[in-house]
Amino acid sequence: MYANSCNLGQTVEMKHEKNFKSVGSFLSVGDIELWVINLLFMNRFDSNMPRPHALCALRSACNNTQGSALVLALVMVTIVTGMIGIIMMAVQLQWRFIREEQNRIQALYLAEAGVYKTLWYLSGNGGKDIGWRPENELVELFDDETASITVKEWGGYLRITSTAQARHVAKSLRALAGEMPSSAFQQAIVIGGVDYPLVVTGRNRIIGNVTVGPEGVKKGRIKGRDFDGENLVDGKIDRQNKPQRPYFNSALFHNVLQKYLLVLADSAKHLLQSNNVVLSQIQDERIHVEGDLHINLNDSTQKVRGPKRISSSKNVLINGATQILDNVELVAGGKIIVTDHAVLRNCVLFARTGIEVSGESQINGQLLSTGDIILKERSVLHYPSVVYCRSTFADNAWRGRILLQDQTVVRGTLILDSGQWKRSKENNETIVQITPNAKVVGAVYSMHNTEHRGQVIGSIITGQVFLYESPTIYLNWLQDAITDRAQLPEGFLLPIGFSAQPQLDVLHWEEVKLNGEREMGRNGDEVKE
Amino acid sequence: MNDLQNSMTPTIHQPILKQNDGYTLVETLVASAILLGVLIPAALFLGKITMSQYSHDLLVATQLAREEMEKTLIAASYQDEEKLMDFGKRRWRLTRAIENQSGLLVIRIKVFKPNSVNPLVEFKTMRVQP
Repeated sequence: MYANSCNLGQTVEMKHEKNFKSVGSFLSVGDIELWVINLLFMNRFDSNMPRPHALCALRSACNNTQGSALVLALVMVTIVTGMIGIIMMAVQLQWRFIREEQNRIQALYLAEAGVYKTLWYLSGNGGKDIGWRPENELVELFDDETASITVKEWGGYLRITSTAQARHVAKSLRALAGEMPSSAFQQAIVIGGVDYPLVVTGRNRIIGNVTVGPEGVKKGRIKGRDFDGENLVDGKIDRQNKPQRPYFNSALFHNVLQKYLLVLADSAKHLLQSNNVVLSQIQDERIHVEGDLHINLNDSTQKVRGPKRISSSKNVLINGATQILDNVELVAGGKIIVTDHAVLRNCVLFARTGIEVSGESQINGQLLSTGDIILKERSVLHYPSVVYCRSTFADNAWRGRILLQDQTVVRGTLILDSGQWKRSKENNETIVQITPNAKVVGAVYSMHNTEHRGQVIGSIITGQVFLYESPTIYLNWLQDAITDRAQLPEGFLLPIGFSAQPQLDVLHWEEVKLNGEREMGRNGDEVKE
Repeated sequence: MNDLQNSMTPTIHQPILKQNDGYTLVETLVASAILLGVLIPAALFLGKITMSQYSHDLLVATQLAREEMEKTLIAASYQDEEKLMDFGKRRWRLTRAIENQSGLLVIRIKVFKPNSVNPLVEFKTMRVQP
């Protein structure tokens, strides 16, 4: 079949017989294939072989001696140049990315340096003090680098924003600064009054040093129950002859309260006209409501995110699956009630007449009030929360209470500020009350009374300890309470004001994008400048 | 052969772009294939070598400097230190310099190539003296 169609010479056919056999299966596929096979396996081209039309054209092109050498050479040069260019660009790009990353890291370190230099200034160095409040002020860092610094109050803490630049890359960090515990907070219990001894009874435990009056610590009996522990105090007992009143400058808290009272007074221009709005969709940073405000999102996917300042002339009720997150300030002329599993994070709540948190609500924030603050029903306040009550004088008595009830947990600081230390014997209207199943991990600072029947992992500094067992009031008695300074986590920070020259440190960092866009913070949440 | 010679030697009277003699298509394709076959691997290899020398060193030095800075800050080990470190196929020199400015610590981390005076990377920050 092959010989008929191709008319090959006998010699050649014999010589390559084997090869033809091996490719016999291709013989029927057409003239072009036959021609190619002949060419390849014979190692020659037989001009007598019949050629298919397409093959003739190919052959003609191959034999064509007319070419375009210069054009092809130029094309080749262009290709080669292009390839080299791409490689050089890739190298350059990679190098720039790495330099960019380097500058980004350095800018973050410079912004951090700005925050720490600010802490250094606020601690009373460089001719400045804790009252320094720069607004975009340039602070010199190294030889030729600076950071732009802003310091503002955020509840009882300070918020420092530092922006720095490394070459052309700028980065901004925001830090929440607190105060390292002073020597008084190294004690388990400090009782300011010296008139009575500290009496322990029942299953009471004190782990850590205590500072009390000259009569020291004794054990006592209430309703037939004795002290059943081994040691009165697992620590040193420091007896004082004169009342010791650990330093507390409440100026920062007063400024904050004053600021929120002004917010209520100057709220008309931010008045919300509609009665029923989707709060999470309102873009305004300041919202005011005349009358009561009820925030109930009823959907855990809906969140109110800051920065926002929401104020109400009367009461604010927050309940349901509401989540209020990141730099939200809630200001109420009346009460704030948080209940029914509400979640608030990084918020400041101010209510003129009181705050109530219940229904297993979870808060990471600061509760400030000039009325009673009541935490109950398994509510949890996460570190670094602050509960600050400024007691007020009305009807010939000081009033202002912080009550922890029903397995409430507070991780942070409780402060009862009555302006000055008082030791009235029977006034339980100005008191920090920790009920048997409640727990504080942090510090309790009460200028007046503290009734402690629960668990405090940290320190208690109080004017006196108050215990009521009907019908008797016991002063400086502790029954069935646990106070353990040793278990307080290292690095715990207080709000600002417990030292004349405070040592400050950072509680929380977040990275802020400069052009107003949102960026992921260090805690994985979105942050907005 | 004569054809080839003719094609290699352009006639003086003919303008170069109108010259008819040249390489055949097959010759040109083969030449192109050989050229590309050599050039592409060579270019890739060259590129890889170039990237290694510039960027890889910079990348490694940046990571080493950052790691050293973070270690210093976490451990609060505010003392001068110089050390050699092997990483990849290279030996690196890391220096930590602490300067105390009235209770404010200036921390500088530098990473050098061996036998180099200028640092490849330098990071600096501040901390308050504990």
